[in-house]
Amino acid sequence: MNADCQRALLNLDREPGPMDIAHLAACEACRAEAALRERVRLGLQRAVRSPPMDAALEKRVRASLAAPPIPDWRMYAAAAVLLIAVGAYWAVPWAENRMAESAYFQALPDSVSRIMRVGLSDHIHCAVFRKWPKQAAPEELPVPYRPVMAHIPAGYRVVAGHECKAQGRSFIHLVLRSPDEKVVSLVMTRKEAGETFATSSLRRVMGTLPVFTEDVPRYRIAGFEAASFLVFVVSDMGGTENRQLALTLAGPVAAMLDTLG
Amino acid sequence: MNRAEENLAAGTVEQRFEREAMPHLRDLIGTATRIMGDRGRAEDVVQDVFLQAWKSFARFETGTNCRAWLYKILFHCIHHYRRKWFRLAVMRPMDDYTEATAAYTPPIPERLTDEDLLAALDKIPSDFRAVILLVDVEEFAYKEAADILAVPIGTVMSRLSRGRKLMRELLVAKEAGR
Repeated sequence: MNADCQRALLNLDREPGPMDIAHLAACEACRAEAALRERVRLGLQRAVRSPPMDAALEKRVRASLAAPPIPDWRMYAAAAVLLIAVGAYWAVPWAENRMAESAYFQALPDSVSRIMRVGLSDHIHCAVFRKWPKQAAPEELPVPYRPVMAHIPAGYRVVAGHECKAQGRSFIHLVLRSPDEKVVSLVMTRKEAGETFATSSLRRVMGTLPVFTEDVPRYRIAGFEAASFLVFVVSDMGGTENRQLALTLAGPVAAMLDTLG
Repeated sequence: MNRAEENLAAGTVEQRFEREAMPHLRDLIGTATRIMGDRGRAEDVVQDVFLQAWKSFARFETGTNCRAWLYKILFHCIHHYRRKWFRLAVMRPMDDYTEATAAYTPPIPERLTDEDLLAALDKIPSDFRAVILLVDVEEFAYKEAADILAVPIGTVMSRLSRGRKLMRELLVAKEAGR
């Protein structure tokens, strides 16, 4: 084997050039070597391909392809539509509530007293438009306020009790249902500087404590106060029932709140 | 005729996939079995290959080389399968064999069985085996094999040469041991 043979055989595995091809045509030994290599190659091809095709595999592959291919843009579009739908499901009622709540207060006559707007704001925000959270009282009611439950008159049903916020102010809020299923809020909040019913020109009814009342569009409000708290009963019951409930609650609730300081 | 029109003329995606991709299932299984060394794992990988191919088949251009495209996905899947299940490092290229080794050509035994050939193939390094399978068995051009394996064409040629040489030595050793 000479240098030409070595070069030609080496290049068989690479890219045989014209010189290599010419050499192979002329050299019997190299042709025989090339033929041997081809024999190995064909033998290997046959051996690799010899195992029979598994029909179960073909079936499995086809089954995994059962779902049609979805171009990426369609998947993204579907995801976007879903996202918008879910967002709208939550956002639209929220926006409607916020707009309706805002519209209600804008339409409220200027004559409505400032102090009554405090209790009214939480009733409108939480019990009317936001609805009340699903959890039942007294689990969510802060512990110090739970004794108030004992003073709810028979016939009224507590459906929720929690701490909430409206227009930047914190409230303890019990949502009740009256005997005729009207929505009633018992709203308690700590007094801010100078807040008292005593100096207002509101209608006053004397019970154990003075109870002050005011009617606003759709709702009746009655309020009384403890040393550090303002308490409101807001509902769409009749004026008499609403006032009577406040008179019933005023004494014991104020006494309870006074223990909290 | 643009790409969309060509695809339309070629039929539905399902029809095109059936016609262009499915006939290569058997060849892919053969190659995957030799690379993975286990028929079961090879079937898992090939099933994954066809699933990936199916998902992206809408982007595949009718008339281009579907077989080479499937093999490219196959080697991509094999690479990921090894990393996922065996945490194997990237296979050592074994390119440090000397040309002198490559230049030696021992005689090939006259009697070669399928078992002898497959045993020798399975014993050579995985990178060499992949090139031999692509070029000698599946008859891809060097350039196509380079593209499938994502290596330079020179690497394909040198691995092929060295892989063939190693196989030959193993076959000779086997014959000598009979």
